[in-house]
Amino acid sequence: MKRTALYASHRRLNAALAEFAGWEMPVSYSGILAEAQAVRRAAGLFDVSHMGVIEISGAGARRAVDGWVTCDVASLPEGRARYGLLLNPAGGILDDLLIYSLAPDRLWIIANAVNAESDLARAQAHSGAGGRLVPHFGHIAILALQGPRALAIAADATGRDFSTLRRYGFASWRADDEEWLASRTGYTGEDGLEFFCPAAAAEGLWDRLLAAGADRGLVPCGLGARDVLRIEAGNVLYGHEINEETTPVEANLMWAVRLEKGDFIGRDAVRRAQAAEPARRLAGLAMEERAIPRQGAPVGTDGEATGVVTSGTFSPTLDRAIALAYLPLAEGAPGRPAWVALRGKRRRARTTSLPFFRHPRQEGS
Amino acid sequence: MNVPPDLRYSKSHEWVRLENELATIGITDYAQDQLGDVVYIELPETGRLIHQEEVFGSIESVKAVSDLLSPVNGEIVEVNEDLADTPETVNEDPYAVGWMIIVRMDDPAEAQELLSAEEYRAFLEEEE
Repeated sequence: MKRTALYASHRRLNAALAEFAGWEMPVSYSGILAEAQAVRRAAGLFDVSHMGVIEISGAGARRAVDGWVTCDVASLPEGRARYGLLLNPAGGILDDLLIYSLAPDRLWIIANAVNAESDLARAQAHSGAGGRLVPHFGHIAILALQGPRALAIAADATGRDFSTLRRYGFASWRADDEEWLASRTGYTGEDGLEFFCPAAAAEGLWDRLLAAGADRGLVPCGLGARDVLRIEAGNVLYGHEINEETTPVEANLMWAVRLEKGDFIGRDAVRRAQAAEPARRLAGLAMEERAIPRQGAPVGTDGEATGVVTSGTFSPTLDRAIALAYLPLAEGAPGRPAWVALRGKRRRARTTSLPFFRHPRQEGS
Repeated sequence: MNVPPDLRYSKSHEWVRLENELATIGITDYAQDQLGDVVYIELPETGRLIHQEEVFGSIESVKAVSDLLSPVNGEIVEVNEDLADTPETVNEDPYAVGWMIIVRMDDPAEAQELLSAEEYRAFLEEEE
């Protein structure tokens, strides 16, 4: 199994470790629910260095990436990141990505760990001579600092003010002749930052952030809490809500697709999918019984099962079990009685709007 | 892992406290640690007859759901109703506040065949 630059820190903090996409990653330190609650109330620090950073540079880099990603890369201003999808020609989702614009001729693509190698191979095949590709897998550490107190903690730990960054904006700087970057991004539904630093500097940054947050309620958080928080925030995860069999229309991800920007792989298929009514759509379920829906559990709103759970968890914020599920379009409308079959029993649920949780301060933004 | 010396154990990680014909049953420290944050516990009604290795309830954590298996034969005479609202006590205090059911055993002598603390400890080492 691969280990991140912070492996020794995780061991010292007594983390429960488990395999995730070929990486030995922390699942939790003090408990999944306590960590998730700390992020909602104060702040949490996550090691997400398993994600893959692919750099593409050259005069043709933007045009090349625009040919295989759904968002508009040509118009992406320097110092901003944008969420996009990598599709197959049939419109199925191969991965979801963040594209960072470091310079007019230089981009970073952040890939899911499980897809990093295949994304790189596809990027190489599709970009041709348009750009020079360099994978930074394992060389760049990624630390996510999330929660209402994240920016104050980051300012204390780094001496830098990140409060002027807009959502999806980032700052980059050089230290010890190495590139550092911090973006106002995250996966938890909270305000916060994601730091990208050289692997050798990761432990120092991790320790400085934890020290600066010690009396502000900051705790180290594992992938368990990250999953709880992203489900509450209605954020999709590759291998659960999205895969090659799902389209951006079904997954409510058309906001990440710019059909008018010019041709890209999967565009025609998405256009067709959008013109026809989708057979199913991602919906939210709130459980009315004490049971957690698990991936693959059948879902229905009447006699027969018509859908399937993609992710489920216990939400400490809502104090009930919740799930993301694919349901026929009409059945997924919020407020309908539904059921989830779990261990041979149909458990009562209700369809809800997504996300399950939105931070009060982010409303209307 | 905490394995109190005065209790008996099953290979499915339940503990049993024996007092004459009564067996108080819960899950072990190892079991709660493996499960992580417990959020739901389903327990039976009192009065139910139960057989050894029969399912008497279920325990669900954020990570997984498991059956609870009875280590003994008998009648369920008491159920810890508090666990429905405070399932986290199974994480915090699995051997005391986190008890689950009390069974009046058909034949208390049978319980002597359950694992001793020493045997359970050895079993855990094999499992690791």
